Amino acid sequence: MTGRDTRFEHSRQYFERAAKVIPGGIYGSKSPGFLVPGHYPYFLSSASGCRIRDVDGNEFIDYLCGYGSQIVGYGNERVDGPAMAQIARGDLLNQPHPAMVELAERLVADIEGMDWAVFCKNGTDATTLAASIARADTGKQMVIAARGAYHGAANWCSSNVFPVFVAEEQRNVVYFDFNDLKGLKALFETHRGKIACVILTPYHHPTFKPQEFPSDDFFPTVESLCAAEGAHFIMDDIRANYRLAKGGSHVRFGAHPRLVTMGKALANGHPISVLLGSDALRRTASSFFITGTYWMSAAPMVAALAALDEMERLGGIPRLEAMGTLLKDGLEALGRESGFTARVSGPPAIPFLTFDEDANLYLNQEFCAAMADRGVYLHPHHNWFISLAHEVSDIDATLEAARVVFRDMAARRG
Amino acid sequence: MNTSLNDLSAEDLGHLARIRISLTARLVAAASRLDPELGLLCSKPFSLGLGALGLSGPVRIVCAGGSARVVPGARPASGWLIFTSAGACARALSGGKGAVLPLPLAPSFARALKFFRTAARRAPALLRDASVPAKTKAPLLLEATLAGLEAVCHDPYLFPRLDHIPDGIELIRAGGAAGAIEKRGRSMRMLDEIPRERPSAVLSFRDEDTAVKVLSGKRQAVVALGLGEVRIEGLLPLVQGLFGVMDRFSWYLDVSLGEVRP
Repeated sequence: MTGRDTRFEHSRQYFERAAKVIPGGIYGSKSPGFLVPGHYPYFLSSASGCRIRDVDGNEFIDYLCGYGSQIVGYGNERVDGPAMAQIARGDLLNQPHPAMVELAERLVADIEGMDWAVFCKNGTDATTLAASIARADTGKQMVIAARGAYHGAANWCSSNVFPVFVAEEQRNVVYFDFNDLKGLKALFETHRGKIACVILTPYHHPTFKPQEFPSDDFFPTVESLCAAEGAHFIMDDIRANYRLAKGGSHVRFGAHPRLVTMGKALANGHPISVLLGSDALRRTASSFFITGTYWMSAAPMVAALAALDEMERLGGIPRLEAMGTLLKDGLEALGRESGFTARVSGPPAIPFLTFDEDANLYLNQEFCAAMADRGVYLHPHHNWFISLAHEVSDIDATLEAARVVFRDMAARRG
Repeated sequence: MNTSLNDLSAEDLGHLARIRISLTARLVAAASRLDPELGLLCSKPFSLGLGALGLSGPVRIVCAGGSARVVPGARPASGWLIFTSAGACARALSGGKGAVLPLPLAPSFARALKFFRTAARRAPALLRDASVPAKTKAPLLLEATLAGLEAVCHDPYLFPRLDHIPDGIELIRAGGAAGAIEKRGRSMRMLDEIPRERPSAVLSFRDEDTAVKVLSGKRQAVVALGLGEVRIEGLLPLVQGLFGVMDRFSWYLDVSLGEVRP
């Protein structure tokens, strides 16, 4: 945001005020530095369908979807209506609302291999609870995870690398490269008898890098290593759930986790996450004291039930994949036409574009900034999301903007 | 939290001494290129070693043709300034008092000593003096920052963090001034020249004034970034990771002299 730029003047003014009372102004993944400052708004005011509007009145076709939480579109009346009605009747009550039972039953019926459900608010709540239950059940401390995978912002798994955390919470978490089975086997060998669980995402979706699918022998090997060690396999499906398979993303890859975490798209942005587990861990989970002030609020559960219906009504995963494929094929073709090796990785409903010729992401930043200038919100460093509110006309408008941007980039490259 | 020098562990005192030696040497060298009087003092060649007893990583200030540069390692031609301990070194180079042993090896030592004493006073004064323009201060601060990054990465406190930062070369631009640093594993090295090829990442300050504010800690880098006063391009985890390393460097710079213990 330069001094002369008035397109984001109100965003800038709010940021200046925020910087005085909030560390860093805006923290975490929403920090301006994670995007390309000057080309994106910092504060949004409203949204509908797949369009977002900022505090300066700029509108964007959105491909971040509230970091994946918007799956049927912003302001969907069929989801928000019942949730608002529940708020009017009473949301956070002394005891749970029957919607909790209905949602648990629905999820247990839908999500393959899962027999029980515990509700919380954020992804971190669910992943931390999963790791804790695995540790308590096995009596072992170590957690194995893939390098670069995101499992939340708690000290055990976050990027807050301070010696005090490294010496305590982080010392029992060890990493291997996704798909590197040799490396994984070596960890099991080195830490034999100490491993409580392996936590993985259904496919690898790190920031700043292309996405990566598991090899055919990846999950079978993970499962056999866990079985031999007596460790549990946790599938962290927070980011990808309901965009790969209705029965849980593990179904897409033939995996058989003991615990599954879900959230984000589950209630189309209403605050709820869930830890699902198999019967093998029911007793240990039952012995846990699990609570949070807002964890049993009714409205998000009502919203989740409505969102699950709405996903189906709007065409579900087949429609998401069709739209995503349209975008992927279009972007790759337009990139080729202008002489770039632009590659869209990941599943069609969760695409991410990178340039093979530029691992340092200069081209990503140039491309996404120019797209934002043309009213298309694509993140330069984090995977994107397709929602059921995206229409063919939105994809067409996106590709038309991309055509111009690729040509401009090619002209600058000379 | 501001820490007193007296409260540092022996290990941290050693890190602080190393940082101060590196910082002082780099500032002295940079000041020689900016201040004509200092340029005159190093018109004839000499080289001065700077170190402390029991501390690894001495540096050499090599002068020739009216400017100075810093070279790692021993064997100075003119002589040594050896502090009697890491504590004495940290204290003296932080503006306090600390015992130092002059070890002349050649007649040019007197020239070297005169230059060092003058420049070591002049460089911080240039940074503090409000009347000195940002165009003069920015290259000094940039040099100091890069020197600090290079030195502070030996602190084991940073090892887990360094392990998370990707390797690569970062170019830092501050108006007309520029410098580059290479991060590889747990070490960092200031580059003598700006690389010709595109670096892994670029950190650009809008102007020297902004560079002075951010590098002197008067403006938070993330806030300057949000306001468009700072721009980062390329491999962001490298730049953002180095912000975290800079925080540790700043922590050392904020160590106060405290009361002198008997």
